Amino acid sequence: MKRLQLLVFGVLALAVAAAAWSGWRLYSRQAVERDHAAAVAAARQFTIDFVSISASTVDSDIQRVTSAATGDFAGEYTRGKTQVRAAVVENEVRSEGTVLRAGLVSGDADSAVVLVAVDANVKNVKAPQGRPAHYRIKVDLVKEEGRWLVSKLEFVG
Amino acid sequence: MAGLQARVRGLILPVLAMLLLLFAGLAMWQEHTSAARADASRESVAAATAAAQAIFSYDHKGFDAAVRNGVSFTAGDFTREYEQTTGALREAVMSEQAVVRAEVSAAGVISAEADRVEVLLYVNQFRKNVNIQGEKMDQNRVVLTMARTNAGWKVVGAAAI
Repeated sequence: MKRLQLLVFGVLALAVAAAAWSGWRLYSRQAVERDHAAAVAAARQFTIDFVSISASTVDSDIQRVTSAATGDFAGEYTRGKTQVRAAVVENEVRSEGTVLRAGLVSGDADSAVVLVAVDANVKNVKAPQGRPAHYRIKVDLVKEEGRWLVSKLEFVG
Repeated sequence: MAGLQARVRGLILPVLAMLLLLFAGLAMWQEHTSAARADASRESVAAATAAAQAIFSYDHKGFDAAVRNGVSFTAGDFTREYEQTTGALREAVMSEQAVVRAEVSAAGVISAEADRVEVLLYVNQFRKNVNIQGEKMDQNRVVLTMARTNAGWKVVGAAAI
């Protein structure tokens, strides 16, 4: 009886160890997948915000972009925003973007690179009916305090 | 009665051990699936980049050889689709003495399963023919569907978006 009990405890200890180990491995891998999905979602939203700008809502449009950007890119965008604002208002721009596809280039727990194929319909004084624009965008993101922020945006040539 | 209770008590730990092992097995299997997705992503992006360069390039010199090379990157119904598309293109390519060189400037994974991956590629096509001066460049966005076959990752679907 004693020996059987020892065996049961031994197997139980092994089972606990196996469950803990495999559970932790699964958790960390799923955490990476969740991070990647969150980075791609943030990239999609950001690129829509970036190409959607209208004279009537220009200040909140710019604010949305600034609040989701970080680092040098945020600095550059903030420095250029007076000019952007003036150009948008003067040309009565109304641009609305839609994401066609987004794809993850690379990513780890706190940084990611995402491609976003975006189309926009850009209306302005010269083209009141609007003109289609097809963009090939690449964004670099970093996770800061649990939020994915854009540290670089590039129109890929 | 007391004997039954003792027997039930004696079963608690073995049953617990079995449940934990079951959980461990499920978790390992799930982890394995997830790892397979990550491997599939990495492998298929490399394959898609090489495939895009091959299937979106052509040259009036050695056109048939280039198409045969292109075919080697495809599988399934898409092989015939590719052959039909290039077959329909052949005459114009010859008469215009067209040369098209495709380059991939970026690639990312849209979605991935262990044996099927959708890849978004930014493809530049540099075009030369008798109707244009010098070289023109088209900036394309392409989605390639890649599938795992016995001969590696092959293109089973292509769409310009």
